[in-house]
Amino acid sequence: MTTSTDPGRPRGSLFRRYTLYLALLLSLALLVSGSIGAYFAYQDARALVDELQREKARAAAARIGQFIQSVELQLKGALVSGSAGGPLDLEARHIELLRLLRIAPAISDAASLDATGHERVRVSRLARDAVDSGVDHSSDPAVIAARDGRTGYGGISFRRQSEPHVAIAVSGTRPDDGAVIADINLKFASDVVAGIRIGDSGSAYVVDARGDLIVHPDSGRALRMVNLADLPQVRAALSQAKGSATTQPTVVGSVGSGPTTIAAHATIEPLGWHVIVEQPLSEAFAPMFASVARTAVLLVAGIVLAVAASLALARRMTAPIRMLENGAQRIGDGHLEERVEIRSGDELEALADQFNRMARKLRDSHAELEQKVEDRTHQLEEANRAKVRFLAAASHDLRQPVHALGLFVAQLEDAHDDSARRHLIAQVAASSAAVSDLIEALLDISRLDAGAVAAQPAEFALQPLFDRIEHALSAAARERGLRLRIRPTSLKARTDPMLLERILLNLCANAVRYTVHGGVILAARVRGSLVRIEVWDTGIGISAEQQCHVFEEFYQIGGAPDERGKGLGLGLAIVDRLARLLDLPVSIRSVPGRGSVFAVGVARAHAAQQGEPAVPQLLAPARFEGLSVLLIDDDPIAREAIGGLLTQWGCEVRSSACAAGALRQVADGSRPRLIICDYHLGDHERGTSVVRQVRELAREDIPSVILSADTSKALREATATAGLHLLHKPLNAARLRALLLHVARS
Amino acid sequence: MTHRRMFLAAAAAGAILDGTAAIAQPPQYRVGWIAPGTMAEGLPILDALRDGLRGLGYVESRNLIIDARWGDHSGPRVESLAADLVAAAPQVIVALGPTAMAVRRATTTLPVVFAFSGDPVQAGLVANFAQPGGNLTGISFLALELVGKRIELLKAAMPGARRIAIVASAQHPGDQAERHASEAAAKAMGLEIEYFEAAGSAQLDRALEAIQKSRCDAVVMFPIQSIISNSARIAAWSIRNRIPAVSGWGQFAEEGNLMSYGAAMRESFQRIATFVDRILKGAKPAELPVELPLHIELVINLEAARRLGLAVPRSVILRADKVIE
Repeated sequence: MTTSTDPGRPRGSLFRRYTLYLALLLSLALLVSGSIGAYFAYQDARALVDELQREKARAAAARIGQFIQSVELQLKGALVSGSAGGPLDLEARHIELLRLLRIAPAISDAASLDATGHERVRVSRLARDAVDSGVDHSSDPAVIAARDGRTGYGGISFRRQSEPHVAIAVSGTRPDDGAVIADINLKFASDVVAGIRIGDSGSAYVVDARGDLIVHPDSGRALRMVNLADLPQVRAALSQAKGSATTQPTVVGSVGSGPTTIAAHATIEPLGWHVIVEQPLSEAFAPMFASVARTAVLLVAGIVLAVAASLALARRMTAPIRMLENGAQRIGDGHLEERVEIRSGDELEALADQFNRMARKLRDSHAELEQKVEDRTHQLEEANRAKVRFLAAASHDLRQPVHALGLFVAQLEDAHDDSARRHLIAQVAASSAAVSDLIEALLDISRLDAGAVAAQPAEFALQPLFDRIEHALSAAARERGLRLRIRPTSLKARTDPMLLERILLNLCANAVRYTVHGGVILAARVRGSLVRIEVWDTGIGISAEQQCHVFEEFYQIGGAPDERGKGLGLGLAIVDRLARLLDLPVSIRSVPGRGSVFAVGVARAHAAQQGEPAVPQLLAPARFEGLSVLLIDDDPIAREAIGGLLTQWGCEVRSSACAAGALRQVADGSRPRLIICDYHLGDHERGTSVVRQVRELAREDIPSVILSADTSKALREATATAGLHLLHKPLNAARLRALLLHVARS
Repeated sequence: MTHRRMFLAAAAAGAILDGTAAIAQPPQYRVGWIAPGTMAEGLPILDALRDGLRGLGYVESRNLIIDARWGDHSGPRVESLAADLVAAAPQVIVALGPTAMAVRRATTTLPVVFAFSGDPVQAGLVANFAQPGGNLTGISFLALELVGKRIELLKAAMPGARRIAIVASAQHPGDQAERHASEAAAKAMGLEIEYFEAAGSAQLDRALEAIQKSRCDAVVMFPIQSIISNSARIAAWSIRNRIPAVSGWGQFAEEGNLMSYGAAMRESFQRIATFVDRILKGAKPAELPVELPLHIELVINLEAARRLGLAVPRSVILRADKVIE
């Protein structure tokens, strides 16, 4: 698998750490085990070396013992039994002793004793021989020890204060046997000792029970009459209790220029001498050091192997992690197709699977989101298109009456007689009304879409609504030759009365418009907890297919014979929106050519609220006796139009184009009862602030109306907050009247 | 090859050889030797030393130089020789017999190995046997003890002997001790002795003549160089005059005299060589104990005994280390 890491980047600290830990662990284990092993191996090797030295010492002791024993045997051979004492006896003894001298060069002197321990014959190499001297040797310790066939040993004597000699006495087993006692020159033992091989440069020497050196490979050394009891190895030998196991060999520090040696000792029983075997430490320990060196080399090799192994192992361990890392990076870079393949059968494989699942989910949600975005875009495009269509339709529908208006006005200029003029004015009024209606309807729809209309539910009786609707439409129905019947009802509903009236008005108006003959019935019925208000007509009907579309904006069913009374196609759209706002179900039943029923369901109420809601009197004529109104609008035409209307109604109007004018008027003392102010004044003035200024100057919260084409919620809230009324342009005269009434009354 | 090239090659080779020879020159050891007698008398002993040294790796043509001085039986000459030898500054001096005293007077620092017949402690050469304590050490040939033993053995071989002649060296410094030892030993055995002095060969002849004239039955000769080197002559005299002669070196009996009892010469001088070796290797004489000969041998010449008309008893023959038929 290719990685996206550049070759320069290090492998990562995880690898290093794993390697380090593994290497440390293995090395530590090796070191510890190696050290422990080496320690024990050293102990064992040392014990072996010690044992070897002890063995050498024992061997040396045995050889020296053999030397003495061989002399003993020779002495025994010279024993003469019998205590006859005669010349034959003497001669026999003499011969034996002479023979002894010849066969045993170590013997310096020998004497043949009789059974009582008296000397019979004496021979000597240096001193004079003696025959039948009768010297009593019975108190000689060697002689005393040599009873009943045993061998007795005397102490060491140094002849000429130099040559060590030992006295050995042997006796016969028979009671007649005398004894033979001899002085042994220990110079002759130096060959024996010299011949003891202790490695390459080791040596052995013998000290007596007191620690005097008595035998040495270099025979001259033993002649020096030195006492070695101060040497640690000799001390160890001397202090060893008789019969106990030999102690550990002593390591002796280097003496003079000599090397450090290791010394073992053994006792030569029954003489009580000690043989000391010394060997240079380096020589004795050579095999041990070699084995330690071997172990060290193995240890080093082991550690090297451990490091190599840990490198390999760490790489193996971090490989899946690196795979995960790389996979994550690639997915993070946006390659959502990337998947991590780990087949290790452990938690890492599970992790990789989770990873892949996550990546898959990411990709899916990505796709989902894209799809959603696409859908939404589609929707928005649709909505946009719908808006475009709406605008197109609206502007088309607007163009007609406006165009007509222009034509009529143009005609009016040329009209000479009154009747023509009156006729044209009626046309202009009609066209203007049509434009106004259209704009009103558009505004309504716009307001409803913007959520600018708030439902104010109340409980109210339905009959007054019905009455007003009848009143509004009876003339139009009569004109078209239709019967308009309103069934009286005593039912009460709970919903927004104004909006419900609007719905019903639109439905009835539609019914009237689309019925050629017959009639329209408006009735209310109880259906459980609902009141079902139905509008029956015998009109052209709506086919099932068209029923889906009737509530759309500008949708008009073709085939209506009366083009003029066609309307705008917005009525049902408004009904639909209002019904949705009030959450009232609206249904259609229709048979094309026979008629249709539109039904609205409202919640039933049982008690009407006290008093009628303040429904503005739409058509109540009134004159406002000199109600002073301050009108502020920068558009002179608007000023003229609105001002004219107000004057016609009997108001006293003062107008101004800007804030400054208005404030001047107030400063001059005028106190209007109502301020009507356009929202967008020139010079970036806002109507709301102008009104505020005027109110402030007048020190009175004069009721004020803001005029604006802006149907936004923000403006509504702002005006509501400031305690101002808001009327939308184009101005609805009836509404203005209502407001004036309201002000006049208060 | 051109002549020029050959010349160069030879010169180079020569230079190399010279160099290697110079490099290969082993360290030269210088051993001094001073003996009281003549070269003729003393050479066999010197040879024994040479053999001993060769065995230890010292070869005269290679790494050893022996500076030998012969006293020619002249006391004053020995003194001057000793001084000369010391002045020559060898690494060690081997001094035979009485020359040891002269050498000791000549130097107190140069190591000296003596082959002394008597008691070196009594002669003032060393403090004691075990630790000599000076610049002298060596081997003592136990002349004082052995003279008694020789008399004893002679008595055993010749039971009828009554008067024994003792021949010793006049220049022998310890001669008073030897005389006393001889007298004491003889007295203990119930014998009389008559003392004769003979240093060199000339004196020896006179001594022999004097012994002839005396009533001595046998003669015991101290094993001095002049005696040993004249062994054959003495043997002839001995047989002619039927006077058995006993001395201390095996050579004496081998050359026709009755008996010899004393140290083995070659063995002893090999031991001297060991001393020299140790000193050359750095040992101090003060720390090398004075040694006695390892083996004392009895050599009996039965042929001579027959000629002398002696029947040597079995007991004597039994203890002989060497019997010459």
